[in-house]
Amino acid sequence: MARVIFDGVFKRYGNSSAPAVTDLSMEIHDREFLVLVGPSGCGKSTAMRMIAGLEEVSEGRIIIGDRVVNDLPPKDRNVAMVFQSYALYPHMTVRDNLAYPLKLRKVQKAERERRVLEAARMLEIEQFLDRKPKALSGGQRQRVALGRAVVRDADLFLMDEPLSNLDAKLRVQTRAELIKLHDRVQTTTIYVTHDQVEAMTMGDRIAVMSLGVLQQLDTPQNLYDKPANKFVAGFIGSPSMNFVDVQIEDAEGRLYATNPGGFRMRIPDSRGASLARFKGETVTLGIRPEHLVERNHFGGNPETVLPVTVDVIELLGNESFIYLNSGNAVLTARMSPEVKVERGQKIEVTAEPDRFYFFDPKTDAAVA
Amino acid sequence: MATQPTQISTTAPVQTAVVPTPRRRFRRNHMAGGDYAFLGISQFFLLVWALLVILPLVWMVVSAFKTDSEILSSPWSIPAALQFDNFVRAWNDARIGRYIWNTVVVVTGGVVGTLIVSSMAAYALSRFQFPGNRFLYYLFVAGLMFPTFLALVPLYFVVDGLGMLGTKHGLILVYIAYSLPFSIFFLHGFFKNLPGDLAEAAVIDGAGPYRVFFQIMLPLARSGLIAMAIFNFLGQWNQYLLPLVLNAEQSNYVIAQGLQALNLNQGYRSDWSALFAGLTITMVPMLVVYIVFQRRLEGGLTAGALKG
Repeated sequence: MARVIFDGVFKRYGNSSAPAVTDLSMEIHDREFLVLVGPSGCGKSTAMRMIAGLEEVSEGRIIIGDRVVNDLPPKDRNVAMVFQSYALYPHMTVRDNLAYPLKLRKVQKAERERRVLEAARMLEIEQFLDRKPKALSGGQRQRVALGRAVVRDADLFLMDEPLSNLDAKLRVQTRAELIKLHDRVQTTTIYVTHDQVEAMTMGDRIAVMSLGVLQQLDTPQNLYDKPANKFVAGFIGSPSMNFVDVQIEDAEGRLYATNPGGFRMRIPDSRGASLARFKGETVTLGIRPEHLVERNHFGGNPETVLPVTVDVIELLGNESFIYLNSGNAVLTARMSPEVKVERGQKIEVTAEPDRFYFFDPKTDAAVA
Repeated sequence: MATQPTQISTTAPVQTAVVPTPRRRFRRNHMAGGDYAFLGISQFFLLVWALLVILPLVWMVVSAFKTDSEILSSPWSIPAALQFDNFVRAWNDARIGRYIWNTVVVVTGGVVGTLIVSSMAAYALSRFQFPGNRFLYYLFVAGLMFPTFLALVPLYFVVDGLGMLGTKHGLILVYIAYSLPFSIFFLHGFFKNLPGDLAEAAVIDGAGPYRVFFQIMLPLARSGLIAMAIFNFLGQWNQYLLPLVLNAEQSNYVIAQGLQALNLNQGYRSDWSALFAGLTITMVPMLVVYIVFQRRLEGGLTAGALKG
């Protein structure tokens, strides 16, 4: 059990100008399940590999528990890692795979066997102990890989996209099992994924990274409700948030978001104060598809509406995605299938006042 | 069985409609008249080639069981009685037994040494970044293109300087050096394509660099190592030029030199049957190794080829 602290960590490769990880500072609490998420190449795996000791830290400190581990070899950091490829030793049986880390730590044979059995029982792989990895299915291999981490009694679990080689159904199932496993062993876990659904469902907290920079570290709900910037807002949520560049116009004390393509929408009064400083300037307006409602289904201020034309309708049964045109802006709305619209139909949509997001186009930071 | 024709006749229209069209097209594409001709000619050449290889071998083995007079008077006949005595003479009088033992010692040392050194070098070159890595690798690969003949004279002086002329260990060291370029080249590709995750998993599990190599990576490269073992065994067993120059000590002769000596002695004693018996004895270990490990060799070589 241990906390992990990144303190101003940089990672630079060779003489390339842009660091893979830039000034990363965060604290992962003891027993926490922290998800590192971001698109490929965002530095999340590099950050994890620095914790494991597979990559050197170029600058800054990484602390596990109370020790600065920058110069510790991987074997002395007492971390266990689950790889995307599972990295099971193909020439060893499942039993030997599980026992290997214990053998290297000179655990007595009887104790070794006891712990292997215990881990195998916990992960329900007892009956495969004498098989080689190639005689196992993907899901079973995945369990063995988890078992090799569990058996170690490590301070920290590192998981590098452990579910991405499983088929969709098994992935959902294993996701739940991983959460249960974490509840049971309570080991601090850092989990890397590019899948925001995995991140949202599994993490106590989520660290969103992009281009080597930590964008936001918060609980799943806060990431969704209060994204710190445009990147986080667009990354979390599916389908992703609609963004429209708009001018803030003042007409008789009321603020309107407009753009030259004919987009025009009144901004709810409650947001006026924070947007006042952008009068006459451009900001990025963000609305999540699930927050766009058709006017007839909305009971709020009838003036903050946006006239749109229905372009494409995707029916999914339990919901429908409706693509809307407004001037030169394209919006996606996620609506109940009870909302009956047709292609080409002109409708009015709106959202609740606190469901509008605004971002400063220069910094991409959210305007509170 | 009686129902079968009716079954076929009822399903036939459906089958002709669906299945045979692609099959017929497939046949036409692949086996036109020209293709048959090509197949016939290539089979013919392969047959000729096979005969060219097999007939001398068979003749050698048959001759090994004949008497000298039989060999000279009726070279194509079957022996009247099997002369096992030829083998005894070759083994004892012509010292083929001794030479085979020398060869086994030298080749075993050479192959084992080659595998140890080349696997370690290939592993380090393929998986670790360090200044000069590429240069060293290309230096080894360049060794592939260097004709042994050109190195012969300097090599003689090097071995002489080490005081190893005419010794088995001297020959072993030279064989190892001689076999390194190809072995490293081959195993480099092999190691390069082993999943790096496994090494990293082992490091995190607590293994040091030597454990990672000997307990994880080396077992994974097993098929490549076996292929290299066989390849080098065959190559080193057949060495003639290197021992001829570096190993003038008759008691340390390897089999190729022993056979050459036996051949030269023909001028005085004309013991043809013993020569053929000696050749047969020489050939047997190679044949056994090749037949036993043939699939391993081909498997290992193609695995390397696909990955590398």
